[in-house]
Amino acid sequence: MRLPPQPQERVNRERSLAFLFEGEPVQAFEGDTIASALFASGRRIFSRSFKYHRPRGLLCCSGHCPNCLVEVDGVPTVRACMEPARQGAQVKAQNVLGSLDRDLMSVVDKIGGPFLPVGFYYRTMMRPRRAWPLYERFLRSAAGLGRIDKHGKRTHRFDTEHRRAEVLVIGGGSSGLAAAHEAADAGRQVVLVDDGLAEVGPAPFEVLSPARAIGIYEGGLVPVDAGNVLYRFRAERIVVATGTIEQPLLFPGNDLVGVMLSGGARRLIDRWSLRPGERAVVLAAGGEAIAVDLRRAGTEIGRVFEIGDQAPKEIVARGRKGRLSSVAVDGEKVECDLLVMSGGRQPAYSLLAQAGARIEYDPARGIFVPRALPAGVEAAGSVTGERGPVVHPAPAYSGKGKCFVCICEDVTRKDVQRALAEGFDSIELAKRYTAVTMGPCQGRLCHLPSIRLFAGETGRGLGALGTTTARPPWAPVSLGLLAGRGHEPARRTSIHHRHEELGARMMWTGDWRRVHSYGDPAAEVRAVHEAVGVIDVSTLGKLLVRGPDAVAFLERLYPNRFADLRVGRVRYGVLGTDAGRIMDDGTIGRLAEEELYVTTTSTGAEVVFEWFQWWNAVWGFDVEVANLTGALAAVNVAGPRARELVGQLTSLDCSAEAFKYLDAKRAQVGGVPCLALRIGFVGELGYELHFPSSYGEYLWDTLLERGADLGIRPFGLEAQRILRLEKQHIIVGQDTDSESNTLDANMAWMVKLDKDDFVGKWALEHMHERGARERLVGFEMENGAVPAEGGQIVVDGRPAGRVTSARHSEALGKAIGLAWVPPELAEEGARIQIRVDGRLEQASVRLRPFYDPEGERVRS
Amino acid sequence: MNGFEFIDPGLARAENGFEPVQRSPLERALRDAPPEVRDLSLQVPEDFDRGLAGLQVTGERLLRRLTDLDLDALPATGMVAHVRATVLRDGDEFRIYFPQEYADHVAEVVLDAAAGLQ
Repeated sequence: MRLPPQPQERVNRERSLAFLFEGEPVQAFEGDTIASALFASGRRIFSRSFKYHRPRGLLCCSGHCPNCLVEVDGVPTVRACMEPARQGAQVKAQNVLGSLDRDLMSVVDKIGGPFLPVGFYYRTMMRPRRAWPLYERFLRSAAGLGRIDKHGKRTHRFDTEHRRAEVLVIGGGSSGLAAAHEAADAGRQVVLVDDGLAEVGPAPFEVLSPARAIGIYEGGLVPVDAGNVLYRFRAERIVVATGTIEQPLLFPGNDLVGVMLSGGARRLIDRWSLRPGERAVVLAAGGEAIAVDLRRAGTEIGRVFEIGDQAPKEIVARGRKGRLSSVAVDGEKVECDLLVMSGGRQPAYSLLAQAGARIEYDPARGIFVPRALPAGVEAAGSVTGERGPVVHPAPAYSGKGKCFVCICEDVTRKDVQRALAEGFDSIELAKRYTAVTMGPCQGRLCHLPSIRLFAGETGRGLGALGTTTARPPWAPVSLGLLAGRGHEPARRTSIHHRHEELGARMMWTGDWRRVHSYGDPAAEVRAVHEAVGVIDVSTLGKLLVRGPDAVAFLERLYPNRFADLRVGRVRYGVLGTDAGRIMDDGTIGRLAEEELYVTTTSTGAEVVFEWFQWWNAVWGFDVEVANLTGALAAVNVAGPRARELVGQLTSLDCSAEAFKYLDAKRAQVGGVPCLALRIGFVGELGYELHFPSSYGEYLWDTLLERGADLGIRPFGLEAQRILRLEKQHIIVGQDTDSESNTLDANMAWMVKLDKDDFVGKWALEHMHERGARERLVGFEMENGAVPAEGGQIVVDGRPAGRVTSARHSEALGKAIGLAWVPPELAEEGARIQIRVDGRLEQASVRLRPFYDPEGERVRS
Repeated sequence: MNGFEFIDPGLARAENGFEPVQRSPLERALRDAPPEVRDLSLQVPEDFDRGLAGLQVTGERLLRRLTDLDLDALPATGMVAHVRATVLRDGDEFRIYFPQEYADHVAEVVLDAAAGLQ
């Protein structure tokens, strides 16, 4: 039933709507919240508590407490007192087994108390250990509040918007409004953020409402939750006018349905024209003023008790089925269905604390107040702690029954006493142990009372105890809003769409999208061995190093020698770290006396580029390094008929004599300017063509078209992995890890220890003297089983190495791979055991390439 | 051999039956784009090697959904649609240049943000 229209009422009685609560229709007016409409319909129990499943009713009506959390249209843990009622909304109770009024889990409240003290899960359910999965399943199903659909999809659109403001005012109360007006009058660009509780009329500045500031981060970043949009504000000045939060009193039965904060009762009356109860007891400093408001709403006042330093001593609230029925104060029992309380008001300083303000206890006012605000951040109004009535309630009022310190986590006074007895006497430790302040209210209603209680129990002053750290989020925020839109940055080559059109299966390589295969990797391998294949290798890192010191620079970066690399020739190089470990690999082509073209692995381009720049800055060489990775596309045309194909497309003499293995030549291929490198990662005659990325599709199409008669087939990474494994060519990061070095990886031939210096030389010298600790070798399985990559090498029953790559080679008719083994086993034909699917299988070590060991095909 | 010459797209020649065709990395992604999003990729100034893609976007609000750069202090380089980019401003029009290999991703984010403002 509604009261007659109230002066500040927010409902529009002309327009009604309906929503469903637990499947039953509920009538509401426009302007109602879900909570106000439910309260008007007669509902008093809104939720069940976290642990004990005690009935809970409206307490603050301002979005602070956890008592009205419901599920709305599939979104869990929505505060019903802040959520506008919407036509057709589906509202459900959460954390309930059975119904809201008859929750079967409430048995925990009746019998579970002694067995479920705070932190019980640290001590119980440990034995027998094999029963833990059972316990875990039970605990996980019983714990938590709302439920999310694990298979759910995005139902709401959430966006992020970056904003700037000269002055950002947080809080639209009288002080916030005054600050905003003052700044706007001074010609500043002002944005005011309000959670919707205040009445903000038309203003000469931008108002975001309802919206909540989530926190204040470094650099004055203030994320603001405006429902479906997360505004990330950067402001020159931040004015925090978040006001105060009314605090509850601690006494047995303080969580019963019908116990309300005075602000909550007043909001029900003023905004939604609802009578909070029929007969009330008021427990507050200045309680008479509250009683006047209640009488105006037609509530009978049973008794008003003033809260002060001396009295009362004992308060006990009693109820039936969780609903308040009477209050006894110092032995005086009063029948009532409403208890309106107020334990004073604590400044809502969290945002200021996050910004760097110092939080101090003010003994005169009995509250914590912000001091020493950082530059650019101001406090306005009651958040300063300098306004409002002074209240010094008892830490907790005595009496029999559960006295709740934290209604979010169901932490009782007894729990706090137990934590103290167990030695958790620091406020920060006790917070973590008891979970006080860690629930949905984030300490709004339990921070000050819990510190008061700790002080009371320990005899230490509140100032000495201090506060716990205030961390974002200050206001509850949905994960969807934080996650934003579901975009994942991906790099795609300029030929990417052609691969998709060919039905390629794509995979991630770092942040690149690459082709795994076009459906039949074995056929792709065959095409490269028998005819010609083409693979998109645009993802390779491509660096141009030029300048008078270009050769000297690379000589010092790589263990290889480049001084003798002739113009127009290419050399394989492995880049090492200061500690001699393998960092990356690729080819280095000398384009001119002072110009070298360096390729890197697909995932290593950025790191190698930065590595080059860093060393260049350290050494001060006269060298420029340009990263051309994205600017150039590249394809590798490989196979015995590759020469025929490339020869058709260029006037360049592609004969074996004119364009030799490891030559680098400039060529016009299909009319496109290219750098052609004769290299052979896949073990067949091959030309790696590098060219402007904008011609990617054109050249790809041209190669496939002209190669059709030659049996051309595009191939992907899977085929390339098989092909290179047949040649025992390593993949850095696959066959090596952060500890692998060039010597142990069988590439001692490229390490020139006679050079004056190079990065990692001292380490490689040491490793050379010390001898190998393990060796990277090829192996072939005796029974054809393909071991898993990462599989164990077993010697004398003990793990002695690991498989890094393994595949079945159709060309060889064998299962082959690479593995790290003890040095004594790195001999041709040595027999090793590899664990495959739990069984030990025999394999033989092979030190030379499995395929074309003399390299005749690749050099042809 | 000069290091930079061979990658100059301007050296491509139509001859002997070959007709090299350049393609903007944004061509497909922006086929059905609204008028406030335009492809600049093949007209990127001084981008001789086609390493950059370019987008023209109209509307400050749309830009605010893409980048935390100060739009009153452009040109500047920073993250746009999660990718490092340079942004220039001419009134309510913004030109965004970024590595061309991110073209599909940036276009996806820009078009999605534009749809979010409809």
